[in-house]
Amino acid sequence: MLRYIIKRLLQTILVLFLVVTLVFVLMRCIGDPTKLLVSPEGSYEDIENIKAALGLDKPVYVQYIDYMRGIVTGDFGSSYYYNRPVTDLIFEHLPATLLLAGVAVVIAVPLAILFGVIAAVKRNTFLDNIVTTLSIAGRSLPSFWLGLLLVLLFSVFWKVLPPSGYGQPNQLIMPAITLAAGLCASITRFTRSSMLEVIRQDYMTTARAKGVYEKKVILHHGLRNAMLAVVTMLGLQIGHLLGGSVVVESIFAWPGIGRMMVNAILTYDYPLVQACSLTMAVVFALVNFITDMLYTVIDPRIRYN
Amino acid sequence: MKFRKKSLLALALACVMAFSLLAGCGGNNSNTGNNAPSGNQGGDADTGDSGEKVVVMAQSADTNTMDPHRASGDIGANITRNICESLTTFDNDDKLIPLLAKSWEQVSDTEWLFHLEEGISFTNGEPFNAEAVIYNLDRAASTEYPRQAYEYVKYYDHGEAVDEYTVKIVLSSPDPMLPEHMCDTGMLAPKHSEEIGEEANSYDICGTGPYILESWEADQQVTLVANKEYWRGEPQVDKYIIKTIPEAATRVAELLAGNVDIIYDVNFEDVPMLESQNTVHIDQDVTRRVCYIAFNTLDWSPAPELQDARVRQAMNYAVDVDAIVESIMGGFATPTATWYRSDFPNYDPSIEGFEYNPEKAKELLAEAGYPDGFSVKCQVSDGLMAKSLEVTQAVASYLEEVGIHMEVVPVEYSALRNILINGQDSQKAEGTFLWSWASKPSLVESWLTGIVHSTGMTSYNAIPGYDELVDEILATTDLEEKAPLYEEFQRKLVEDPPYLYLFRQHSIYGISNRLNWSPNDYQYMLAYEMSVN
Repeated sequence: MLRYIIKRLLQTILVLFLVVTLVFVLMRCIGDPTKLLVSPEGSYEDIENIKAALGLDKPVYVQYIDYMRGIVTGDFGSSYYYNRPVTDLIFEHLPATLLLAGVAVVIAVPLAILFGVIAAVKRNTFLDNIVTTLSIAGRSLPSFWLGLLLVLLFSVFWKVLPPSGYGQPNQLIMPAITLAAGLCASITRFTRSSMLEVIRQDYMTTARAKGVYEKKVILHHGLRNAMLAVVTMLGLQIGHLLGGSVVVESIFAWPGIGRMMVNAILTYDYPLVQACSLTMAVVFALVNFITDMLYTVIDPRIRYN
Repeated sequence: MKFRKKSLLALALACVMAFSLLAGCGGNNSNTGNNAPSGNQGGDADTGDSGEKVVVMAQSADTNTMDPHRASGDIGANITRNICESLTTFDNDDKLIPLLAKSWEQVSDTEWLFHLEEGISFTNGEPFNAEAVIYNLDRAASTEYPRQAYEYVKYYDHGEAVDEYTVKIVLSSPDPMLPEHMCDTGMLAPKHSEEIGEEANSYDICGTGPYILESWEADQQVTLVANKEYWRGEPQVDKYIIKTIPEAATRVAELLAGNVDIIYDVNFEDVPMLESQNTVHIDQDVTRRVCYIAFNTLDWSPAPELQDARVRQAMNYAVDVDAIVESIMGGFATPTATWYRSDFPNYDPSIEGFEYNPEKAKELLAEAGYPDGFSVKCQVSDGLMAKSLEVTQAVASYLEEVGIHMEVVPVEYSALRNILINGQDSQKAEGTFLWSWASKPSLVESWLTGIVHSTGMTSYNAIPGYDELVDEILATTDLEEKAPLYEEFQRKLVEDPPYLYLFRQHSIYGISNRLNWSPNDYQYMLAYEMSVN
């Protein structure tokens, strides 16, 4: 087990290194941040001054070596736009995104598994049709539309929830629901199809034949086997949640990392984009690792050696 | 038993995840405090247990810095102008008025004396005096760090403290408009600014103004509290909160919910709905930003047809700007004869510019040898202003009627800036592009050097005669000698137009009825001018 973890760790470091390098190169291909930082009313000297102040006048390979050396010592540089260390900015914004994504998962997953199992067990009944319709709707509604609809209903018409903001529990409700809707819909669909496959298996019939309660058959013999695929899906979806929360963060003025990253990309803020993508990559790797560990819990036959 | 162990592992992992979430919550609790009226659903924004008067303003983005000497645009100025004051400022009629300097005089071509208000201190107790002014001007003129594009930086030489409250500013070349230029340099408390260092100035500032920076939660809100000892008298609003709400529809919802008192850059489509509400009203101001379509007349321009003045005149005649303003901008824009604003020196109101006259446009095109028109591309970004794309498409359809086929090329805003600013050598600009320009009241130099003179950073104008005229205007330092040159320049803008003139943008505000405040053309939102019913 320990060997496996070390192996995974080394793999992750390699991936992170590639992410950093790729983003470094790509950012320098898309455009020149000095032209966005300089005021159009400024002068040519201003451009040169800004370049020098940011160290962009050095050759690219020198910039790369400097940057890598910085990372190793924990110095990720300062944001061009905010003129502050990017680590400060990340630690300010990441909790908001984690909180939002975490609550969305907590809302979405239990509901999704419940709906999925019901739909599978009551296949082709009225109940199944409702769940299927809802999940297709949840998947297809764009989050900016759903978010604005919620704002219109709950804030403007009924005045029960604040339209935006961060810090109080009631400000979390609408963004979390908006973000959870898509996730819940996908996981529901996935649980349903996964359960349908399991339900047909011989061991389910065997379980029933030996007199196990139906509830136990479905939950212990059925759901447990179906969960393997669902957990895989969930791991991938959580990665998307972090990146995809940018729309929700904009609508509800949620001070998360997704919005900050998009702004950083739009202002060609190299150090901030690099730090954001690195953070995302770390979270993604961590979630994947947790998913892999969960496999061994769900299916004891799986062992990492 | 194996299973048990793994359950424990799973539990541990779940705990780690839950803990990271809790850490997230903890982080936000600590920095949110209880100063925001955000939880005060449906009620008035002036919450406050002690009946303190709170005004909440929302804008689309957070400022990148509090440092008044770094570029942060109007978004930043709306905050910092409440904290740091300048020597001079403008009134509602774009007239220069005193602020921290009570008077000023020019003692020679390159020397100015500013007499400062006496007995003012910064909110940390430091005295405001000649030394403080010199510190700030030196800092603003420093090339070591990226700074705002202050024009006086090019010819600011040094400052001298004549006595405690008189400062002499020495220039390396004359500038008759120096007092006007002083309007946008906010004064920081020198000791404080020096002690905390360059980087900390971006989030910790101390000025002489009516408000003190209390907290800044990035991408959420900035909280300013009243400076009770403010030298012009105690402010009426106790707390001024500036929130960041990127989504326009959410800003409207917050205004209607009563959590926000002022929003701006309202879409004009939302105006009728907001006007029908009895808790809010609409207001507007004419911004100092003029929108135009620039003609690329450099020698490599993809549209050589534009070299002919008659073609450029024809394009101006072909477009019905009034109709565009009415139908696309909802009337929230003011058509302009040229870009030469009425507050600029020696503005000549008799110059009428181009009326809508497609027949004349066709004649001019035929005269110039293009009776069947020609094709040209126009780069435009919807990030430049509201309705940029629609306006450009409308211009294109008017031009189509006189035979000119204008293809609208949408470009992402950052990319467009990369193409246009200092992009003359890379030759990626098309024949025309939609752009806008702004400057402080009465200051026209940045237009001349930035978009008219062929060496300008965003200039694609190589029409003969302009460089000479601009050079002459800039070299003339006597205001009376300048007058005929400015008049000649305004006539030339019509006779040999380097742009297709459009309009001055308006900014639309949604304001809560509990607030007594009206926006002014100088545009910054100063809580000192506000009061609450």
